[in-house]
Amino acid sequence: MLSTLFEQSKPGRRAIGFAKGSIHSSQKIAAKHLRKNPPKLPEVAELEVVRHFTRASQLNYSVDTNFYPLGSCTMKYNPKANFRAASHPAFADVHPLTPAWANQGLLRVIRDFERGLLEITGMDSITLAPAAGAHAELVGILMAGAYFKDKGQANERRKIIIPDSAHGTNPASAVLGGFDVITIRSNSRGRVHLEELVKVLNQNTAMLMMTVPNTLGLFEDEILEVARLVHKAGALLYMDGANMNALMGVVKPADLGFDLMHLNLHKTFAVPHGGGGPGAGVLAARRHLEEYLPVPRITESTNGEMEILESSPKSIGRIRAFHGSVGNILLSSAYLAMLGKEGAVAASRTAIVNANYLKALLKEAGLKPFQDEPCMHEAVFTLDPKTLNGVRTLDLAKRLLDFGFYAPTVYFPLIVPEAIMAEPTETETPETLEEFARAVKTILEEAKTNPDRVKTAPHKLPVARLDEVTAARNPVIRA
Amino acid sequence: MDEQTATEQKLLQKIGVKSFEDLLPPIPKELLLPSLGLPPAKTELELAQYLDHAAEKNIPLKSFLGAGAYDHFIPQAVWDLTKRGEFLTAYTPYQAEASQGTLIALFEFQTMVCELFGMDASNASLYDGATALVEAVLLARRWFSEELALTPKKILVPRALHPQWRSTLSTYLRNLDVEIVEIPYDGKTGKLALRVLQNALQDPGVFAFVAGQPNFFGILEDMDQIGEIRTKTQALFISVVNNPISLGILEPPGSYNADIAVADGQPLGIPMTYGGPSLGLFAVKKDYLRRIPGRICGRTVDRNGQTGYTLTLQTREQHIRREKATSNICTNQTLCAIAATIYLSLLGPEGLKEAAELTFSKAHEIWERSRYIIARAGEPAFDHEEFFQEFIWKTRLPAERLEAICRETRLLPGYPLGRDYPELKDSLLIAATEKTSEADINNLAKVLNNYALNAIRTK
Repeated sequence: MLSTLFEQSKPGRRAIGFAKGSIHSSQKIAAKHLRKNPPKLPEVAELEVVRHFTRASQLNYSVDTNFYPLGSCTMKYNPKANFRAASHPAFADVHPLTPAWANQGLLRVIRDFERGLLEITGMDSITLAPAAGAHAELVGILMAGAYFKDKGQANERRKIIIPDSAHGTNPASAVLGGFDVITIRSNSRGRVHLEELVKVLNQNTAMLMMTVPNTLGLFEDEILEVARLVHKAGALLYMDGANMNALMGVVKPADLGFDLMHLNLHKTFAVPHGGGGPGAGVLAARRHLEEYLPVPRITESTNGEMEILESSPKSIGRIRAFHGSVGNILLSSAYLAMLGKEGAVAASRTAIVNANYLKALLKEAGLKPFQDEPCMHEAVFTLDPKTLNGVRTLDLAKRLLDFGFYAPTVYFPLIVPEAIMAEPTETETPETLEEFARAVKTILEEAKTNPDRVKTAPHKLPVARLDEVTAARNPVIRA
Repeated sequence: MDEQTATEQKLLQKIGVKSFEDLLPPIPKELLLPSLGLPPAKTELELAQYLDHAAEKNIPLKSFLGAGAYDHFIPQAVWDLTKRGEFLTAYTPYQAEASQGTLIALFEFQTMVCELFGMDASNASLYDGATALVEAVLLARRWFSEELALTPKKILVPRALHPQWRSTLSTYLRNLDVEIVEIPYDGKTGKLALRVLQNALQDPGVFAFVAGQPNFFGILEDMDQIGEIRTKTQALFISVVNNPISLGILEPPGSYNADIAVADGQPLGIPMTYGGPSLGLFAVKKDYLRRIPGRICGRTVDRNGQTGYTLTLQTREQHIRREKATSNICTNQTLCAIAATIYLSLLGPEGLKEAAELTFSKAHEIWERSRYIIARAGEPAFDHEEFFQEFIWKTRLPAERLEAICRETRLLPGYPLGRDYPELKDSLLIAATEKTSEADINNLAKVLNNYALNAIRTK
C-alpha cells in the first residue's frame, strides 16, 4: 500500500512558493494572533506530489476504468464535453457576489437548464441551490413546513410518512426539518402498502415521501391512487427523484400528482461522483409551493434581463452561503443540451432496456430477482447463503472486484435480505453486461466448489479484505 | 435498421417482451411518453459555440470582492491531478478495497484539516462553510441533550458573522426550537462585544457560542480572551475561520479552546465558479468524535495485516441510523477535498505561510494607499487596528452609484454592506489576495479617487 505524503515529508523540502510577502512595521499584527507552531503539512517536492496522487488514483475503480453497476447511484459515463462548460474561464473565475448585470451569460445558461428540468419533470418552479439530494430533501421538507404554517396547520401537520424501502436520507432530512417520521412497510410486491398508508394518513400528516421508481427498481403502479388519498387528507406528496434516470420523457412526475420533488444532478444528469461528491441537488415544485422556495433565485425580467431575487417574504431563506454548486450545474447544462429532445427519452429508454437485460442475464446466472416482473432502471436480487456454502452477498461483491467490476449496491434496500442492487445505466454496452453476468455465474459456481476463495476475496486488489470492525472500534482517522 | 435499434431488438428478445412499451408501468397511456419541449440535441461543436456565445455576454470584472469567497492562486497541478478520471468518476468508497486512492487522499485531508485547525478529529468534508456551521450547532445541541441530558435552546451568534451564514443557520433551525441570539460588535473597533457575550453566557439556556477569526469585517478578534471565556461556561465554543489560508500565520482554533472549528475551504485550490461547489471544513476536539456528521475515513489493516483505509464509524450515518443519524448528509464534497489536499501538499507549511503573508501585505498596502482618499470621500468604518485581508470603507457616495462607476471602469472595488447592515449603508468591504497585483492596486486607487471626487461633487 502507498505510504502517506506525511511519511515522505522531509523538513525544508518545497514544491510551490510565493514571493516573500514583506510585512513591514506599519502593517502591524500583535504577537498573540500569530501561530506559534506551523501546521505539520507534508514538506515534499512537486514531483512527489504528482506521483503520489497519480499512484493513489490508480488504486481506484472508476467509471472511466471499470463497469460500476452500483444500484441507486446511476454511475453513467460523464461525457468529457461537459467540462467545457464548467471550466470555461468566463464562468469558473466568477465571484459569487458579482452583480447580475455582469453575469448575464452564465445566468442565461443556468436558466435554460432550469427550463429543461421543468419540462422533464412537469413542475412549475425550481431551485438549483441544494448541494446534494439530501440537501434538496431538506429544502422540500422546510417548504412543506412553511406551507402548512401559512395555512395555520403547522401545529397539527407534524408527521411525514416514509416507506421502509426509502433512502436513509429521507427520514434523516424529515427529522432535521422538525417533523416526526412514520415508517410504513411495503407490500409483498415491494410497493407502498395502501392499507398501511390509509391507517396512518390523517389531519396530522404533512407529507408522504416516495421514491419513484422505488429503491427496488419498481414503478409505484398505484401512484395515482396514492396521490388521490394523500391530497384528500390535505397532505403533500413528495418525490425522491434519485431514480429519475428511468423517467426522462417516460413520465412527468407532476402528471403523477407530486407537489414537490428533488433531482440529483450527479445521478441522472451526469455530474461525476468525484469519490462521493460534490454533487448537486435540485428541488422542483408545483405552483402552490413556489413562494416558499429558498433564495437567491434567478428570475427573468420582461425584457429578457436575468436578475437575482435575493429575498422573498415567504421564502424559507438561504440554505448555503452562495447560489449553488454552479460548476456542477454547468456540467449538467452541457449534458442536457447535448441530449436534447430525443436524447433525453432515449437515455431513459436504454437505461430501462439495459436493466431488464441485465436482470434476465443475472437471473440466468443464478441470482434470484426480488420481484420477477419488468423493472425500471435497476433491479434488486437476493441470494441464499444456505445454498452457497455460507457465501453471502458481501462475499460476492468482494469477489466481483477481482473480475474488474465494481460491486453492485449491497444490503440495500433494507427490506430485502442479502440484497444486491444492480443498475447498468444507458451508457454500458450489452457486451459489458454479458461479461459481468458471466463473472457472477463463475463466482456462484465457485461458491459451491471453493467457497473460501469467495469468502476471502478480493485477492487481486491493492489490499485484501479490510477489517472494518477494528477500524470502528479503535478509530485512527488522522496520520 | 440502425445499430441501436437492432441492439435493442436483441435485448428485448432476451428479456422476453415484444417492444419497449411492454416494459412500461401500467398507468394510463396518456401519461406515458409525453413529448418533451426541449431543443434538439447539440453536437459538441454546437455546445462549444453556445457556451462561447454565453461567455461573451459575461462582463469580466476586476474585483476586490471577498466576503466569504476568495480569488487565491491555484497551482496547475491541483486540478491536473484532481481531474484524473480515477478520482473524478469513482463513487463513495463503500467498497474500500477498490477505492484506496480516494480513501488515502481523504485520510490525508482529515489530517491536514486537524493540523491546520489544531484540532483532534475531522471528517471527509461537508457542503460549504455555512452548512458546516449549521452542523456544528447541531452537534453542540446533541452534546447537551445526549451527554448532559439538558435541553438548552439558545445559541449566541455575532452580528459580525457572515450574513449569508447566519441566514443559512436560521433556515435550518426554523423548526428545531432553537433561538439565535445576536451578539453585537463594538461600534469603534468592529470587534465582538465581549462584555455582552459574557453576560449572555450567564443564561443557562445557552448551549453554544460562535466567534469568527477574522470576523466578517476582516478584523482580528481577541481570540485569547474569547478562549478564556470558554473556560468559564458549559456552552461549546464554535470557531469560524474566515479563510483557512490565514492559518498559515494565525493562531489556530485549537489553541484558543474551540470545541468545534469550521471554515469554507474554497480558498484552498477551488475555483470560485459563482459560489460552488465549495468545501465545508469541520474539526472537533476528541470528545466529540463519535458525534461528527458525515463520512469519516479511518486507517485499518486487511486480512493479511497490511495497512489500508476504509470509511468508518458509519453507524452515525443516515444510511444505517436513518432518523437517528447525526446528520442527513450523504453526498459530500470529496473531490474538492482531494483538490484541497493536493493544494496543501504543494504549498506545505512554508508555502501556506507565504500565501497568507502576501495576502496580508497586499491588503494592508491597499488600506494604506486608500486612506488618504478615504479622508476625502468617507471614513474607515472602524479603526481597523488589526485585520487580515479585508477592511471596510464607509463612503459618502450612495451604493447605487457604485454600479455606474463599476460598469464604466470594469472594476468592482468591494462588496456593498448596506443590504445586510443598514448601519453600514454605503460601506464597502474591500479584499485582497496574494494575486492582487501592483497594477490592480493602482487601478483601484484610481477608481476610489474618482469615487471620492464624485462624492465631493454630490455633496
